[in-house]
Amino acid sequence: MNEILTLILVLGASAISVGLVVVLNIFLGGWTPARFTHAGAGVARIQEGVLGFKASGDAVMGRSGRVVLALEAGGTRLGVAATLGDRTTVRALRHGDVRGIRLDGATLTIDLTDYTFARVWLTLEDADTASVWAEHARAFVKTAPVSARPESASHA
Amino acid sequence: MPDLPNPIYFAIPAFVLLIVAEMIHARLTGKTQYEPRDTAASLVMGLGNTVSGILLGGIALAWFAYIEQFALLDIGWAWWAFALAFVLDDFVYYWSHRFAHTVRWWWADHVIHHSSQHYNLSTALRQPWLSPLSLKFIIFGSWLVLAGFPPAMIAFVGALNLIYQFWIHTETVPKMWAPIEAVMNTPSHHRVHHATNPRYLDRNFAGVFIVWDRMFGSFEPEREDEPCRYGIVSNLATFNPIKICLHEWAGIIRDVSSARSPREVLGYWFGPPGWSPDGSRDSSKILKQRWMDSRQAEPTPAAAPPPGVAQAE
Repeated sequence: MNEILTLILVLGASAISVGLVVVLNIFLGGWTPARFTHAGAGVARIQEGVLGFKASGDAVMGRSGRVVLALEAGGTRLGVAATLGDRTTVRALRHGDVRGIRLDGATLTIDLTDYTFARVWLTLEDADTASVWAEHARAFVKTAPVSARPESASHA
Repeated sequence: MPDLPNPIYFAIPAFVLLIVAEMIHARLTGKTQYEPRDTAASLVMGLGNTVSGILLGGIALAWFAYIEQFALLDIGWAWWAFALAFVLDDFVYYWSHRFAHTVRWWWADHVIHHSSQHYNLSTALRQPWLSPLSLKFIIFGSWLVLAGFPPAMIAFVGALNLIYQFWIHTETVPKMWAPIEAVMNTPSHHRVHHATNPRYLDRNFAGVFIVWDRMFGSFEPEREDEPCRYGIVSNLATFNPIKICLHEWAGIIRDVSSARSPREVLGYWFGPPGWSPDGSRDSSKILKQRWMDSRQAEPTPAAAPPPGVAQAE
């Protein structure tokens, strides 16, 4: 009985400690969300994170600075760089890695087959630019046309 | 048999205090970063690991209790037996850790520990929840029991091993005195282990003694001209503990279900992480080879964030 009680106390105190440490982290600060200042920065990050990725020079950054898309030379892969907290996450999408694409004016939403990176969305300068990049992304979809139906997005 | 406590329970308060201390130090010096959602994910993973150990750890304990009857020797509880068990357990840890990086079945469990792009003391606690189900402890730990070490002694020294490994998850401690760096696993050695730079991939598997890496050819020193980039080759885009816990298992299930032959099933399941039938994915071996090829053509790229990735509100 004593062992169970000790265990419950240890776990309970640990859970409270986790909460307090996170609150302290928020209070102390010392970190700021990452943002790309220009598309080239995202391209550089993709090339750094995906060994062998050679950008074609065709790249675009969302207005928020949180997402950059970049085509690989030859169109083999679509590079994605997205911010996550104070860090960034990159992917080089191949054919079949995109589940679907949606356009809502200048906002482009790309659904991915990636378990932890299920969706990327970015608002571009105008609807025409978004449409061009939707077409680029469509090359990486197994079977799915571009849809004009807007939906909420959860990532980036 | 002595009544051995679980030393991890006693270490938990020290873990918390040291994390707080490093967090304050990080704020004052900027030498490392703590991001609240990353910190929360790591600590929740650590708490979940403790709970899962309580719920699922009985599998390994029952197995060890069963095979104890087949032990070759009765080593007993002498002090030297503890010391020997500690060293041998670290040797076993080295190999189990090495296999955890080279066999996807075990990588699916261990990848959780590597899934943060931060490297601080909270990362040490980012641990998997399903380890007992991967049977890693049973497969690698049985031979110590069969040799004659009491299972409780193995559990005790194993816990000490894990406690030792806590403090090496930091960027605040630079390279140490050379004799220490030569023998012990240190923050510098372990930073290399957590780095995704191709040069550093799959290196420094040691728990306590770095000598195992030196003996078995997996040692790589930290270089000033190549700062570590932490995380995994394909970094996660989530702080959700459930997704962190399950992501590689989900990948195995998806790949195995798409396999076209028994060879592909085995490859996806027990092959190295990144294995694919046509070699189109990036395993550590392929990445290292590609990096070696690229080095001959151009200088090693700097590991610092590329210009233009700002830290902005």
